[in-house]
Amino acid sequence: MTFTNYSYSKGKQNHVFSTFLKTLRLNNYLSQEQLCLHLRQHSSLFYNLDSITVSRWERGVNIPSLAKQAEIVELYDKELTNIYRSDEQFLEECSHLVTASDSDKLKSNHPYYKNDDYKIESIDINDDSFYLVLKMILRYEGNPSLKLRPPLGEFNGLCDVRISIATAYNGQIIGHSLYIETTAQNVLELVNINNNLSQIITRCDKDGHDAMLILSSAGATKQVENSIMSTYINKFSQQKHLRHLCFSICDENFIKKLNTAKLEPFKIRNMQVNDDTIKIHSFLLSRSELMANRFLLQLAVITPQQLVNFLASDEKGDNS
Amino acid sequence: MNVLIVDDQTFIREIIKREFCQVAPDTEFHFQEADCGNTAIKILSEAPLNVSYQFDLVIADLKMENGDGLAIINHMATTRSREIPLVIVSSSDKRTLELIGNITNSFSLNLVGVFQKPLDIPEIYASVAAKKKRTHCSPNKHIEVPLCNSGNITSLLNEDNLFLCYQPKIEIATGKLIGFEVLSRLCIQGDGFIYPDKFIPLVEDAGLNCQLTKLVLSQALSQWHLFESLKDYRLSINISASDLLSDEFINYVIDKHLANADIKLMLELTESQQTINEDRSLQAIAKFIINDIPISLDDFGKSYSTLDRLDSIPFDEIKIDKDFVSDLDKNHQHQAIVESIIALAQKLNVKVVAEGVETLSIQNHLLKMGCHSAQGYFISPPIEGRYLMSWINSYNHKREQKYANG
Repeated sequence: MTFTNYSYSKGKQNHVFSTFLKTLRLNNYLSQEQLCLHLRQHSSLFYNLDSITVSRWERGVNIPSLAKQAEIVELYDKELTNIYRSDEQFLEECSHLVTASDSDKLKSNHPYYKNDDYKIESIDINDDSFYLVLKMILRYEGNPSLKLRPPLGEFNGLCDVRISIATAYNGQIIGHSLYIETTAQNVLELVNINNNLSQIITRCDKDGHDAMLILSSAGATKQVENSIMSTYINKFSQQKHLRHLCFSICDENFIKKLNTAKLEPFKIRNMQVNDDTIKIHSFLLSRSELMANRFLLQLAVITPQQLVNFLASDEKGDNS
Repeated sequence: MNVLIVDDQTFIREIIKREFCQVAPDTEFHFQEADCGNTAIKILSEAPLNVSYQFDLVIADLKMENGDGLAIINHMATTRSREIPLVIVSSSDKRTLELIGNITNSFSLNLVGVFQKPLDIPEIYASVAAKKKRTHCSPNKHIEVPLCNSGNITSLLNEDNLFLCYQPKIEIATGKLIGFEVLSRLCIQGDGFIYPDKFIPLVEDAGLNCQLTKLVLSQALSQWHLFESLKDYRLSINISASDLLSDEFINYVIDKHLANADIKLMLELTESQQTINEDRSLQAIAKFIINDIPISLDDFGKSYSTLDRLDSIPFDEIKIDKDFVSDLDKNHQHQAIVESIIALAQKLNVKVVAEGVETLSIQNHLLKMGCHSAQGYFISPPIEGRYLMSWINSYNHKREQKYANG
């Protein structure tokens, strides 16, 4: 695993945030004192900031937490994801998330799939395979609150449902995600009440969407899993009106993955299905919280085009 | 499989024995029986240390002469028998069984389950087998040192890492926005948010409460100074009972309040098992109230002696703990508790805030019950400082529209 260094004590290369801050200040003809004053006047997070600290940030002696970086960057109408995307070292770390290292080569929980090439695509209600894939995902997730009745075809609201799938040769599906854009209040209804997916979708009015709700996310390998995650997390990060990212899931593998990424469920609900108790875990993250998490920021940085490039370069690496 | 069956009725013991053998014909069972708790305790404490003689399962009735099920639970909790899977069987009602389950879990015993008579032996056996499978699967779980621990909390707790969010409180009947509770998170480098449930216990153990409260107070007050219109809303800061024991802290808060007289400050006192009825705490609270800092009693109903506190301290508001609120539309007991807290508060002329309002249905219930104000994810999740003004503007706008449309 690789990490971005948060301090460069030897100062060989400037941290991406240091470079950003310095450029920003010079472009606006500000002194370090003026920048410091400006931050103090516009954000309570920096109420006690002094210009010595600003100078240390610029020199990379230390760097504020990602949460505070996001605050500064957004104060100047920039996006943290864009800034990190311009950093080659960071991009390389991102690419490692979706391309396999040698030690990972054989770790697949799919019977036929062993790190062959794959591509990721989004499908919606207009695709022929939509209903079939949706049914497959619902069966995979086994979430009792995701039942769709009456049968699938009768929901016109399903046009808001987004699915992305990873397919290997012969169109075999090796990863998927299911998500919708909705309101935070709708998400809480789902988390608290025995609403099924159809009710949630029906209530998805077009306006005021402030949340993205992920209902299933999986991949045959860690890399496919990450690629799939990057599709919706990148999409979330690009839409500033979306304030909350929510997961409502019961797939144990994915829950474990989120726990490893240092995320904690906001609520765990038990549902009885026949003799089994199914635990539905709900995670609710604010925009800042997502940016403050290195792993999620890395996924957010990967645009669909970059993902294609990463996967293509991985393929080349295999052949050489 | 070595099984100890404790029940005062012989035929129950016989049924358990017979049906276990029927359910799992391939398993070799060795049964031992006891007709009361005291005999069972004797058998358990005299069992040889040798692995092959140890019990794999204890099935115990609750109500028995000569040592009841609770005596067995107490014995097991304090001896090497702690690890033995335990099944409780009883003819008591469901709520009593739930209580027994909670007691057993609080002792960290290896409880398989609490089962009501008449017994469904196949169900019990299935639970035993499932439990066994689970413990076999995770024998050497990798334990990770948490990001924030007792060793580093002192160095982590500073203004660089503190990140505040603000959760709105509204008046239920009118939807009017009345104030915000300040909630703190720690952000360390690229590791996301660390929530109070993780770091507050560490902060308390390290004796850093006052320091945390001071940091929170400073950052929150500076947020309220950024925008003039924020001063319409009350700013509530959490303090813990132990903060009240520091004169220096009390003076600090009062000085801050006097220096920021245009900000309506409120202190939310967290209930803790620690008694806050000591003279010093009462004096501190009186000092705040005299200086126009109202006190709110947080997490009401969660701990023990809350009623005498209400009697001795003129609280401005009480906040009903979210555990009672978040499911009151389905949980009749919780509904009854919330109802009586609201009634009590009305008689004592204290405002009530329901925390943990997560759905419209809950908010409507609270409105019918006469609850004054509400806080929770349904109104809004906690909001970061930089989004606060846009949230307030959009909330007030929506509210005006709602009233314009009747």
